[in-house]
Amino acid sequence: MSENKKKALEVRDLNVFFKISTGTVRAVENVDFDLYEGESLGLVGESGCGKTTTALSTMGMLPDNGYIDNGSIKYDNKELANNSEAEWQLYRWNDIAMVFQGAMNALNPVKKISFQIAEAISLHYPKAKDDEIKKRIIELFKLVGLDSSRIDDYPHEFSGGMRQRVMIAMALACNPRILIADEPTTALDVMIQAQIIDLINELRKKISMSMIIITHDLSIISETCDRIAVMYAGNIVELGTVRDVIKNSKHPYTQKLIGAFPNIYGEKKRIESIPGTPPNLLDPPSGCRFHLRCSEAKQICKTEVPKSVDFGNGHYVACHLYGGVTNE
Amino acid sequence: MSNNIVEAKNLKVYFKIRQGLIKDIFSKKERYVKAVDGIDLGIKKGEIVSLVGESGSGKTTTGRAILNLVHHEGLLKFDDEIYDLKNRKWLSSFRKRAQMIFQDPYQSLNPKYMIIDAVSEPLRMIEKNLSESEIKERTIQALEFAGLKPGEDYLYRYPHELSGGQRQRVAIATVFVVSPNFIVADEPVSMLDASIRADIVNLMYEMKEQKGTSYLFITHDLSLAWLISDRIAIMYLGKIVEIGPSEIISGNCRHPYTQALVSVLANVDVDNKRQKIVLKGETPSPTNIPTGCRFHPRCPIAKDKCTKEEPQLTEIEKNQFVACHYPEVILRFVDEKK
Amino acid sequence: MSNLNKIRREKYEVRKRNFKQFIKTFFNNKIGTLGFIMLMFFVVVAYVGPNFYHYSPVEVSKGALLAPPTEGFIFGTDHLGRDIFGAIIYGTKTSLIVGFSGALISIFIGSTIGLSAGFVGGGLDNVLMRITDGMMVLPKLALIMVVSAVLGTNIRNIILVIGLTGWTGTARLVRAQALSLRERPYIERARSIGASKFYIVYKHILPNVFPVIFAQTILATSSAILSETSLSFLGLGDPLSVSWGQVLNGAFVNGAVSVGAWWYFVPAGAAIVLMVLSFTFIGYSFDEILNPKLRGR
Repeated sequence: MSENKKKALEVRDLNVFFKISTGTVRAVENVDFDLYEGESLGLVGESGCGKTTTALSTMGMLPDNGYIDNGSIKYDNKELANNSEAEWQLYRWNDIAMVFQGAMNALNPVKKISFQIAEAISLHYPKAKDDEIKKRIIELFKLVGLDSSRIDDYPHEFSGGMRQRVMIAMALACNPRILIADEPTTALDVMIQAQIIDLINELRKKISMSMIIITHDLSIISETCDRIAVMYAGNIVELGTVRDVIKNSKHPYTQKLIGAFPNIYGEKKRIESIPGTPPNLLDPPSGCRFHLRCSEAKQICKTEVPKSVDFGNGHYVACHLYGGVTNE
Repeated sequence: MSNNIVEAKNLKVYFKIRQGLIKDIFSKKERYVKAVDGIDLGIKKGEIVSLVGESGSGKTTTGRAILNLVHHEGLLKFDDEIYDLKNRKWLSSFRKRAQMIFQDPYQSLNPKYMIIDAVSEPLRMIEKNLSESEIKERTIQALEFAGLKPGEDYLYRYPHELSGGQRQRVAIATVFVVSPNFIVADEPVSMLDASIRADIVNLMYEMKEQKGTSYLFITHDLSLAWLISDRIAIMYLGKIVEIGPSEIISGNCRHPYTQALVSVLANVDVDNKRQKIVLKGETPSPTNIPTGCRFHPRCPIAKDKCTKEEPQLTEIEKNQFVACHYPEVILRFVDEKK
Repeated sequence: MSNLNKIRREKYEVRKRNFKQFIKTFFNNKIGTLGFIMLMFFVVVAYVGPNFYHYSPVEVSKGALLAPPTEGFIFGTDHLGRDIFGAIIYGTKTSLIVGFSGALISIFIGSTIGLSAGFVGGGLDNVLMRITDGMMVLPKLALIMVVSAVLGTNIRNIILVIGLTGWTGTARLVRAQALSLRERPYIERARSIGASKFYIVYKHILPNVFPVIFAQTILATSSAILSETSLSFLGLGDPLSVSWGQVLNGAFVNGAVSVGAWWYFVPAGAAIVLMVLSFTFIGYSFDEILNPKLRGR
């Protein structure tokens, strides 16, 4: 079904490394995924699995010691991986925008909200007139469900949930075609989380844009996304529709991860943990990066990197259990 | 004779608000944050009770009051003895029996302490007269119980050399080392990744099964509370609005606030999407608690009575208590009519 | 018993390893190393120099009055014909002693007040901080002058005066640190196992503010040196001891500036600047190591 859909973003063989004093951190390796127009893709994984790094590299916002070692990032069939900073600036926020993790606490406390959104707009539309900008801000406030008479308030007059709405409004300011949301509901109360999830789903209905939602919480993905990419230690281990990945998960890591979330509508049983800890990406394990913690690991897992196996309907799993033969 | 390890009657914790020097001196009206505003709670021996609520609901303050870490009013009993705060002997025996696990494994260990010092500190403080070799032995035992094996390897390390999960295990070892009968666990897993979370939860569970430890488990995560606890208490603005066996979460919860919380619970299961009751607005500030039922401004079924009269916790089914004037209303059906 | 020794030895080994690591990091820092070398140079000059170079402030007229540098007097002579080079060498020790002792006193007072105010809080905090504020707004130099004029001018009193007036900044800094540490969960954990306030301050707060106190000591040393110099320059120094400030005072009083006798004041000025700089460099690099957020920027 996905064949005939237009791709908004096409990431192939992406490697992102960080140079630190003790070596090179292989934060993201061999990451392949497409983001189709109008769809919402969830990147899920534990802390340090490379999900935020992947997103940042599609915006050209890697920290100074990080770089794209290999691979291509295509937006509208334009290659972005080799962009200069000036080219990134043109593209960033206009085409792809991001709600950063914890950004709601990063609003400048002494500037009015309207001023801070206006800043984002006028940076990209230097010619915009003041009243046009104000109109746009009011429009954005309505869009994210905020009271438009409060655009001139200061950040401390807004609660955490409202500030998160402001951050979303700011990301939407220049009508991006792709919105990346990094842990949009973490650190918010349950009811506010539900409000933000509602907002995200509403926005998806109202404006046609693609979304990438980054989170460690599988349950949020299943509420807001069409497809999921599960990441572990810098690799995508399973990719597919939400239903396929959750109901019919193939990769042992995905299965374990799902097992770690209690389901109040299911059986009351002890949640399972995955033994061991995620590997140090300065020196990742050979073969499949999960083999040290995997209960199903075979000999081949220790030596060969598994290739993606296609289960149809865009469901890919990188695991040797399914005969992903290497180097045929 | 009761088999409660902890009993609280009308427990209150008020924090005075400082309004600036001039106002503090001249203003007669003192303002308070009513963090905990009169709760009754009993925890049986060997029982895990979860205290669930959003931030500002007073759940953490309740836990700290029970451990005598904040000034409180009301009656508190531990093992059928009324808190005797002036009696040093009682206090030291209380501290041996009641301990706390903190939320943030990055902050609950002193960065300048080696693991051996951190874990053995409670031993030195509480069980005096232990020899150094006993202390070391008990420290290693506690570390291994907490899943850090071999314990010997961790003794001379600093917290910054450990991962978040390992640190939380050390933090747990500092509690287990004195084998308390009662533990207040304040969001012990909320900072940890899902795959590690289960280990820590299971560890606490093991402690309960092996040694009969009771817990007050403070969390914002309803589904986790449902999973591990025997009973659940839902707090809203300093009061318990509903308390009962944990099964009420998956079935028959009655307070509109609980019903809403359960309905918005993000759920992995793609086939089980229920109608959500998303409450408008946010929890009001505990400095300015609404009259009558404190939930009425956000309650979808609030009536005139709710604005005037504060409902009391009443037993509506065996062991299930609800503080609501209209506990028979099931919200899902109300919403459909609209 | 042997078990106890084993634990001690193990801990000692770990601490030694960490200390070595710290020293290594320090000497990887170019500015810190430079400051350290400069300071060592002054220490050697102060304690070894007098053994090789004879000088006495009361010995007058060895050379011509106010003579420019020559072979015998490489920094020239002052208005009484005394050797300036000798005065600089002998003054080094005075500066170091006054600097360290003054700093230690002020740091001791400042940390004690800061820790008590920050940790105990409440009324005590209010009282101590108002006293600190009061001390802060008093013009420090004027205060030092008045006190030393009353107490009499000798080195001991100068050290005392500098120590007693220089603690305010430290007190504020340590209080701020203690305040933020007080809210940490590990302090609450210590309380929950029944630790006394004294125990918490001594075992939990102090080790964590110590890096700050340490870095502050180094900076306080340089400010104590400057205070001593100012006092001496204004004629309130100890007339019986040789110090750089005394040299500057002599130059100023006797009009060395107006007659262009630069050799009278430039060496002393340069020595003061270099010594203060060496402490600042060391303090700066400690700050960088102890506050990793600054690292690499």
